[in-house]
This record gives sequence, structure tokens and C-alpha cells, in this order.
Amino acid sequence: MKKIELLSPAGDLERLKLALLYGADAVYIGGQEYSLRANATNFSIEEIKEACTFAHERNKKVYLTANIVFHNEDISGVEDYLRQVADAGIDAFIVSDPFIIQYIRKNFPDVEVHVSTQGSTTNVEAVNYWKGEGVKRVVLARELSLEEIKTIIEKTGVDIEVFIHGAMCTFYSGRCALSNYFTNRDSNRGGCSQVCRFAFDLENEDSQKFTMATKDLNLADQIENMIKIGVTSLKVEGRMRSHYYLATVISSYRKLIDLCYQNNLTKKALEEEKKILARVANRETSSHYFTHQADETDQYYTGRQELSNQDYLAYVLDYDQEKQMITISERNYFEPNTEVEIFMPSGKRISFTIDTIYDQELNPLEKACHPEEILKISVPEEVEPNSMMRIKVK
Amino acid sequence: MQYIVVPQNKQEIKTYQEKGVNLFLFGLKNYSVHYPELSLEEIEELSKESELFIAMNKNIFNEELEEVERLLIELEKMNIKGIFFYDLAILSIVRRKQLTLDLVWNQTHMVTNYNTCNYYFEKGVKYGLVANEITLEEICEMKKKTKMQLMVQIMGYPSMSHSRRMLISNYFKSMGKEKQKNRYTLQDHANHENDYLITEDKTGTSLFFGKIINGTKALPELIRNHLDYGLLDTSFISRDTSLQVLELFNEIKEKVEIGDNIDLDNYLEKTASLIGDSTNFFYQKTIYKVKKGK
Repeated sequence: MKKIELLSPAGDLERLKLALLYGADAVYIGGQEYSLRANATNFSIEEIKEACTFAHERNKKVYLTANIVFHNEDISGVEDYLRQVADAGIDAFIVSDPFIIQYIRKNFPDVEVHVSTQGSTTNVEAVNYWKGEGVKRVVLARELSLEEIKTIIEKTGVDIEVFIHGAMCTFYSGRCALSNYFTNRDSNRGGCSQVCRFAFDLENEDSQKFTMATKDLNLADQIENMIKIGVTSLKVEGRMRSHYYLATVISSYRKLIDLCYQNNLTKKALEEEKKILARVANRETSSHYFTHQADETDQYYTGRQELSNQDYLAYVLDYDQEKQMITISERNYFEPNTEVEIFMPSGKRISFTIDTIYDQELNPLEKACHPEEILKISVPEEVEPNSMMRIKVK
Repeated sequence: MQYIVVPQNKQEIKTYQEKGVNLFLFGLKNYSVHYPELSLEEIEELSKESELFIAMNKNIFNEELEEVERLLIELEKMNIKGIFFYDLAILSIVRRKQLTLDLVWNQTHMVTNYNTCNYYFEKGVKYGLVANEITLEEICEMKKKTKMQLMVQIMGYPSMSHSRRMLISNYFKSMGKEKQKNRYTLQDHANHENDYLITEDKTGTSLFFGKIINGTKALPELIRNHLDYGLLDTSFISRDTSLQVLELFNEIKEKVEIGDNIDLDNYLEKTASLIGDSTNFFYQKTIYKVKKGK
């Protein structure tokens, strides 16, 4: 049986490399045209080529989103663009507009087509429709339960991708033009301005602001079920998310998936990863439709409740085996005697208490308080490049 | 151009027929969003004397597929002008069962380019209701470059979004209360300039922009460019107001079709006094990329 895929977002080349190093099996990216994150950095054709080379050298894959809902003016030039992207070596297009699907199938038969969640595909019949159009994979709507997904897999044989972690839309994907009306930005062409997170006043109700904002999705404790029902790919949301967020989330899901396949996923291990995921999230989370008809417990009602913390302390630049020291780039304030954890791309983690913080000339410092400052600290074990240091999650 | 009217109930049909309207749009009970619903039996009865488009434009789930197929087979036996669909399950069933039902592509905010119109036309979809979020220029270009028959909403509150979530009920539950009705007015907390409508039913929650589309200015251009249908959605608008607007639209249509000069300013003034002067996105292009061309 083929192992379930862990699919990570990547907003730029640096994050793509980190996501793959931290355990993603594939990444999805946006090009500089036709992607639903119009204001993300996104990838040039040269960067797409580099991304594909980097991924393929590690037996991993790169999927490119071209999932806007096209307007007339977007049609001219799209064919050239798709050809350039296909030539760059991507493994799949993630698209929602069917004329694009037809074009890709006809002209690039070797490149897979994945139907974007923007299509809000919610049932067997619709998945079978896409199957008939030569689609290899469907990213299902986030409004579905475990049972509904299971039935779709059993009755279609199409590869199914399911969102497992990250922000949720309040409305059906694609069936929302709030940004168009509130901010004149085109929701379905990458201009979503998250109007569903605004606060409103409902007529005659002044006791509490009306909000539609949803909590984030977290299906960490559903991985075994996903594997059992035959889901092909587990998708993490967030092409605009930070390096630290991606590394943390991908690392935790990598660990959970691997433990499942080793029949070794204990309650303790699951709880530990859930704690880590909770610390990196800036919102509360829920399983939403996957386990129940989404209700009032899945939403926020008292305005924005988005919290951030300073857990991320440093990025590891280098390890000196002889001195057993790491060189780091500081991210958030810390002091000696702070209990920290370094998590590494391989999944290895080490915990220890910081003894002394040094500057580059090995002068001791009372504290680390300048972001991006290059510092050195002693570590008890070897540390891999690209590791990250955080407050020890308890 | 022919007008399609969404009445608030079946009793209103006669009134609109007396004003020359022959086409009406209703939702099928439990399978539509945004439109007043009729049962299959009511549709059967009504279809004997009126030309009906029927909306089955909700997002469909596995457990509903069998019933959807049955309903489509029943609708095929009636004299239905076309079925509005959002979910591709409808298109798939119609094709698989080789039903002789005409379909209307009604993926609310996605009917935005001629190539996708042509794609669905090749799949047997005869009509498309264009998105309310595109410009008049884009609509006219679509018409030139597709054989699909196109519908344009020229009056009514534009739909902004639809959720499976029960957002009104959930809000009241969070305060330990129960909702008293299924439709409320919303205002942006930070800016009370605009009203929005929020409605809830079995399919979830819908939001509508609070300004009625007034297609008066666009209408002559739409007619001259051979747009096939103008949709007047009377939901949440009084019947008297809707009828007065319809009468004015009838006059405009007649004059444009016979090539008469029309005093558009006069019509604009009259319709604006009834439904406001919002031209929605007919003359306002949405921003694609914030960074582009800044």
C-alpha cells in the first residue's frame, strides 16, 4: 500500500526547501500568475525549476496552483504560461477552472491534474465527473465528514486529498465574493481579504458583536482514520505562513504519520504533538465537519482572538562539533537558564537548559534580545543544519 | 432579450404575466439556495401554464444523490425550461442518465469567462447566469465569444456568499439564545455605511449585499449586444416596487429593440427612486493583484 502523502504549502523557495527537509512528501506552490494567493511572494519560472530539481533529487514532488477563476482578460497568455511551468518540471497542476483542465489534459498528458478545493467538490457524482475529465486527484471541500470522504474514495477510485491543518473558510470555497463587495478585491482571483474575520453588528442585537470567523482545522488525531479509509494526501494550509510555522507543523505531522505506519502511535505521543501544534497556532482549533456538523463551538464570537507567542527563539546556522556549539540567528528574546528544545529536519529533538549565551567573539551575554543577531550557545548533542530552537513545550 | 422573474411566491406569477413576463425562476424545495422554493408537485402544476426555470443550486452531498437523481428524472417529465445547477453532480447525472433537461450553469461567482462557457456548452449546458462581479464590458465580450445563452441579473440583491454553517443560529446559541427569524440585517461594525442581508435555511447561511442591483444603465448595452436573458430577482423587494421597475425595464427594452432614442437619465432617475442606483460591478472592475500596477 502506498504511504499517505504529507503535502505542505510553500510561499517561496526557502520555505519550500524547509518544508521538504522537515518531512513533507510534496509541496504546493503558486507561480507569479493565476494563483489564488496573488499577494504571496510566489515563484518565478526559474524558481519553479529550482524547486523541482530540489524536490526531485529527494524523490519528492512539486504541485503548482493555477486555481483562480478566470476572467476573459486572464485567458490570453495562459497557454504559454502553463507550457513554461510544465517544462519547468512540475508534477501536477492544481486547478479549478475546467477549460484549463481540458487544455492541460490535451497538451501535457504526463502532468497530473488535481482539482482545487476551490471547486467545492462534495460528492461521489462530482468526483466521478472529474474522473471522466482525466483528473488524477480531487482536493475535497472542507465541509465533509470522515464517512463522506470514505464513501467517495470507495466509489470513485480517484486520488483524494484532504485538508488536515490550518485556516478554514467560513463559506464554501469558490462560493464567496465577500472581498469583492467589501474591499473590491477579487476573492476568486487571489484577493481574499478575509472579510469573514471582520466584526459586524446584527440588527437589534447589541449585546455581542456578530462574527463569522472560524477556528482553525486540526485533524492530528484523525491520521489513522485517514490512512484506513485510503486518503491519498494530507494537505496543510498556509502558503503565507512563516518558516517556523511550516517547519513545526510539517515536523509534527511527519512524526505522527510515521508512527501510524510503525503501529506505534501512542496517546502520549499524539498528545505531545498536539501540544506543539497548539503552541504554533495563533487560533484555537477544531475538527470541524470531519467529526460533526460544524456548530457554534467551531467559531469565534467575541471578535478576533488571535494570539501569538515568542516560542521561536533561533534558527540554527551551523554546528561546531569540536566545540559542541551551535551558531544561531536569534528570533525572539531569551536568557541563560531557559529550557529549550531544538527540533531538526530529520525529526530528532533535543531538550536542554541554556547555560551561557555568547556573541560571535564568544563574549558572554546577559540576554539575547536583538532579532537576527548571530549568537553561539553550547549544546549537548550534534545538531543538524536548518534546525530550529524553541521554548520547550511542556 | 427576455426577462426572467424570480417572484416571491407562485401566486405572484399571474401579476408578472400580465406585465408580459413569460419566464420564471423558482428553487426546488430543499435543493436550492437564494430563491423561493416550490415542491415537485407545485412545479408540476405550475409548469402546465408557465415557463419555469428551476434552481437545484445547492452544494450536494452523497446522501442526497439518489434523491437528486429521482428528482431530475421527475423534472424531465415536466415542461421545464432549464435547471440551474451549482454542483457538478447535477451535470454528471443529467449526462449519465441522458436526460433531456436543459441546464443553466449557475456557479454563482465563477461564471466569469467565455472559455469556461464554451467548455460547459460543449458538455451540453445551454445557459449560463453570469457572475454579478464582472463588468458590463466583460459580459458583452463573453456573449460575443460563446454560443451559450447568457443570463444577467439586472435587478435584485446580489448574493455575496453561502456557507454550510448555520451562522445565525450559532451566533444566538453562543449567547444562550435562539434566533427569532431567518433573515437579519448586518452592518460592518467598524463602518456602518452599508447594510448586508443574512439569511439562514436548511442549506446553511447566505449573505447578500444590501444594495439592489439597478441594471437600468446597463440594459440598453446588454440588449444591443444580444444578451439573451435579464434576471429580475424580487426577493426581499416589495411587489409594487418590482412591478414598477419591470414596467420601466419593459419600456427601455421596447425602445432599444425598435431603435428608438431613450432618455436614459429619466429612466435612471425613476428606477433609482425605487431601488437605489447601485450598478454593482457593471462599471467597477475588481482588483486582481494588489501589487500589480500600484
